[in-house]
Amino acid sequence: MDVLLVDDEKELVSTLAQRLGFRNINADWVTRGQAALQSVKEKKYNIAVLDIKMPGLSGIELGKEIKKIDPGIHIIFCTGHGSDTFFKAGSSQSGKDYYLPKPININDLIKKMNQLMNT
Amino acid sequence: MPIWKNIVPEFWHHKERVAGKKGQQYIFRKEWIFLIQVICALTLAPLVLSTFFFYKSNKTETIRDLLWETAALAKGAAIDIEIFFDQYLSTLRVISSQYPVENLKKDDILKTVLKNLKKTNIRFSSLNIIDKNGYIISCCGSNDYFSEHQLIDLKEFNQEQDHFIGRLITKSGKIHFIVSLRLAQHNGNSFFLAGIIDSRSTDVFLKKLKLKDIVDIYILDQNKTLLTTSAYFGRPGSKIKLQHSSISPSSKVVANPNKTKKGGDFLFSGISKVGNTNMRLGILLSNHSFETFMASIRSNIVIMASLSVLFVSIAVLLLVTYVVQVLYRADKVRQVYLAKAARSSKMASIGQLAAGVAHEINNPLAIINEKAGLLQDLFTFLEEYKNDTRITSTVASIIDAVERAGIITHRLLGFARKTDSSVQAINVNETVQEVLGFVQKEAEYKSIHINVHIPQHLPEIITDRGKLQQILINLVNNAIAALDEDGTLTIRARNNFQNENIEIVVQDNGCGISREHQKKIFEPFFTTKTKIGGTGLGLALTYGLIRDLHGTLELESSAGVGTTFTITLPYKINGEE
Repeated sequence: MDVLLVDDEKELVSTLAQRLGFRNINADWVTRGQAALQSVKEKKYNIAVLDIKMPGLSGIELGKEIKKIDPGIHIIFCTGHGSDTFFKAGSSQSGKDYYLPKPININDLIKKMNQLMNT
Repeated sequence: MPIWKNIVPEFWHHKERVAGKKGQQYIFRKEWIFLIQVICALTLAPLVLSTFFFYKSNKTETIRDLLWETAALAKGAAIDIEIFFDQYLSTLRVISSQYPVENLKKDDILKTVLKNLKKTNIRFSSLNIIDKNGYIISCCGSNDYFSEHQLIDLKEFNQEQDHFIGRLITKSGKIHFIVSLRLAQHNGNSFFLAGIIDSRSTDVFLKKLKLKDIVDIYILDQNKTLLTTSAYFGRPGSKIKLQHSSISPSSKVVANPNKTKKGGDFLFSGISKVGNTNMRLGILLSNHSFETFMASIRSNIVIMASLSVLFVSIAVLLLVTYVVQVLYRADKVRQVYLAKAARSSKMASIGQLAAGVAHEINNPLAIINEKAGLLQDLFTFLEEYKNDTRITSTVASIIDAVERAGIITHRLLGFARKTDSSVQAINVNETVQEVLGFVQKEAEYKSIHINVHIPQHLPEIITDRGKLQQILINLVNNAIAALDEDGTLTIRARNNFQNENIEIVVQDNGCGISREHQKKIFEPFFTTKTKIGGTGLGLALTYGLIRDLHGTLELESSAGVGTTFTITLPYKINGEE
């Protein structure tokens, strides 16, 4: 399973990528939306994990752009902002995606990834 | 409780504050007094004015009636005095028919006639035969009226008439009345048979005519000289100053000419011509009838006006009190909404702050979480550290702490969401658990047992999540405040299929609410927690919120036993999805 992690917090994504590596999940990470779009264009990913609140392209916008490049990719949003309304806004625009609150429980993340891969 | 406490309207004890300072728009007691004054003035002024004009018009009417009556009485009295003189004239006619003129010229015959007349009511003081030039030919009776052969002034005698009735001024200046009849002879000469009536006889007769309110009755000649004694104008011969119209009879109101005499400040004067003579009969009426009638009118008016004023005042009092009471209640509701708006605004600000803080904390927490997770992974996946349980358990503790911190930030975010007003499908059990999450610590400190009995199959309801949370928080907070240590808070819910609603019961076995307080507990600003800073808005707001959700709230409580609040909420709010 190839996963792309996108979050402006470098320490967070780099560490998360390492931890997923321990669990045999190949995870690349970037800290900017534009870099993420470049990565999706260059490589086929199964899942993209996007932070919603990022400088420049927000997670929601980035999700839409990524879907345009690769419609088959699954997206998981994560955010430190727990508003339902915020989640709903993403949900209505991005189809059946998943949301995870920060701090991320890695087991929950892997569970959701597996669910997405099995759909 | 004294009865007057039930009568005094609610706003009467309302604390006066500067308008607008703390939401009070009105100082109700002042408004009440102002309205009472204005409306009383507007309603009573026309009443007083109309009463005044009614009184004035009655007075004028009464005076007019009495003047008419005075004129009628004067006319009647003039007829009476005319009849009086006619009796004497008729007697002369009888004498002239009985005795030839030649015989009457003899004093002794005249004397006999006069003597015979003394036996009747016709009492001439003298009888005389006068020639056509006014000279006395013969006379009998009192003869101090004229000197012998005195010429009688017959200027007033109408030559076409056969008789004359008028006044006679004696040589001593006394005034008497003369009745004379023409006696025609065959040879063309004419004489007069003249009888003198003493003024005292006339006075006696006039006295008999003093009827009803007539205080004075007198006879005048054409020069307004008194011919009889008047109680008010003086003795015969006096001139009186009364300006009456020439129409007969006439009447007018005159000032009392003799204040020492009874009758009042003013009198009603009437004058009427006496037959075909040059004399006038005058009467004076006291104002007694007038005063009596006006006094009765006045007392009637006072009674009517007093009753009207009383009735209007009571009506104004009740009406204004009712209006101000309605205004007061409306103002109270307005204040509740203002307080609610202020609270919502405050809550929204706090919510935004909490959300910002939570978000900012979440990011470093997420990094700590990942770093600790990585450490844990390293010690889990790398063989050389796998068996060192001290390190793995230490890292596990860090991750647990991060999770706890995460729960706190999520709760803060949930609190922020509470201010969102959105109608959505709500799981009652989850909402109750969320609310209990906020009070868990306080309940633990007071060792309060919390029992939740919510059936699993309870349907979701479509309602406003924020409002429902606030309702439950208010009721649960009240219950915890009422509970002592080891008290029990029970929350139950049940589905009511028939009425398509659910029932949520918040029950405590705390101090309970007295019957007296139960009546006021939903009123704004009513609080028993004055010493611990209660605003008195909690239950009023709760009630308002439940009403917003189209629900109902019932209270059962008894002091010392506990309190049960039962909320009923419809499956969904009308008009909402």
